[in-house]
Amino acid sequence: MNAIEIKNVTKKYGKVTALDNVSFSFESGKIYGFLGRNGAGKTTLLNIIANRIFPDGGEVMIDGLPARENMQVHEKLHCMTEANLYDGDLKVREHFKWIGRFYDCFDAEKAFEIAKRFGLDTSKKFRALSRGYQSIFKLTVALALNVPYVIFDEPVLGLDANHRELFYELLLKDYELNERTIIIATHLIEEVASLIEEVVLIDGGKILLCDNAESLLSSGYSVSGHAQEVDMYCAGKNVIGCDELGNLKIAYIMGEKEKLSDGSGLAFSPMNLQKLFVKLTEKGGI
Amino acid sequence: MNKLKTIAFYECATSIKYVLYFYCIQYGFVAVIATILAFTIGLEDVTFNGQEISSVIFLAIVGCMAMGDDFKTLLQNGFTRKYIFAGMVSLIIFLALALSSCDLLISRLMPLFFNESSSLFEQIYGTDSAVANWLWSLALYFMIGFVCYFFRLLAHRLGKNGFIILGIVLIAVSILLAIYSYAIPDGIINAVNTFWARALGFVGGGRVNPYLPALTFTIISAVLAGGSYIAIRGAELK
Repeated sequence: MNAIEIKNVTKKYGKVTALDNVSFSFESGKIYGFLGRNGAGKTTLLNIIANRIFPDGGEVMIDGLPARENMQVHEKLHCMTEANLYDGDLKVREHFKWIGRFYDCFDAEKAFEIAKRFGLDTSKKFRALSRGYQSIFKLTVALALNVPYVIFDEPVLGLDANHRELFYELLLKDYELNERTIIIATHLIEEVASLIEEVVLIDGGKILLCDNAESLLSSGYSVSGHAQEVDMYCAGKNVIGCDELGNLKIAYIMGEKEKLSDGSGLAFSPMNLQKLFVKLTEKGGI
Repeated sequence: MNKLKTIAFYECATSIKYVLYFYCIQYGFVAVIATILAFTIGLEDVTFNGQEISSVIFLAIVGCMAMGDDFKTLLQNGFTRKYIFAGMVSLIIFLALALSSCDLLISRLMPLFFNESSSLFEQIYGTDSAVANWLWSLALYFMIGFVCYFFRLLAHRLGKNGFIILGIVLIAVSILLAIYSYAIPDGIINAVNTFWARALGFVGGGRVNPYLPALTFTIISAVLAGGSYIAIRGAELK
């Protein structure tokens, strides 16, 4: 099976359970939004997939091969993380040279081209780059590696709005030309909302939902109006959360819309991914 | 196999500049001090000995830094711990070969500048056999590299607190052994002393075998390399 399969993965740090018997799959050829609050277990799971840490229980399979200590998956996966895992004393172009030797699928020409578009000085040492440019270097490497699974953990950390836009543009262009699995873990949900096809939501070390982004958003909506009217409308419905301002109330509801009576002061709005995320993590699931 | 060669090449190639810095700084100091002495008191009474000590310190630093940037960089680039270990072994072998060869060359060149100069090996064993000297320093550098690598990995696995506790336990055991050494039969103490003296080349009757310590260091290196391999297989990114 062409996928990253996570099977019953558990990871504990002392008494804290970072991942609790997590099972799901990242299927081939899709863009995933891997969302969760701070400490939800996102980075822990991504580090397990990338063989940087080991699970206490369960296993991860990449295209049917165990991800743990397996050089056969070397050319299949690349994980870009916010942590700086590069030799600070090497220059950017030296890193490109070495990565080109480490991976058969690294396109050095593309890397230099992307670096140029971002204005990344390839003659600088990695350590000498600003935080934003360190992120850009890592993004450049991830985009220039032609592996079937690319993971971006907080990819736009420290990037200004122009560079973030450029990254999303390059990512989509790359995906159009070469369909592969892209996993984006980020807190900037609204920025990636238009990119992602699938949403995986993790909280407290457990998967809250794993669904298609479009169908997920179309399966919910928000209703706003006077608090009393909203409460009456919400009776018996799957309300995942509310926001109140004075006598005004917005309720976020999963399920089918009910036709409003004539003269009703209520209004419907489509659900947005960030609100859905906030409300679901507050509630603990659908 | 290609990836294995690449990782070994990476480790060695990215370390060459540090070896050059090391020798430039070390012999830069020696040159400056020698020049000052030559113009003040003259070089007749100046001796140059034991250059291996600085190489030992250099290798100890390399071994201790093994779980730093290189481990992270190689893990980031998708290598398994088995490959990272192989890369580190290549680095230690490369550095030991480079440093022992350079040190031997220097020990042969120094008599041109100083009236009296001798390597640490010559001072200990009293022989100036180039082959024995080179083998001895090569094996010594292997051992130092693996000792430091092993303890660095142990520190990584145990964590800061665990490693401190281990250190305290080892010190406490050593002190207790020293205090209660009178309780250990003389025969055992003598046997241990004789064993280590022979292992280090002092075979008795005032004779020395300069090749035995190289063998001893190599055996210790192999044991520590095995321990390091076991330790790195479970090492996680921190």
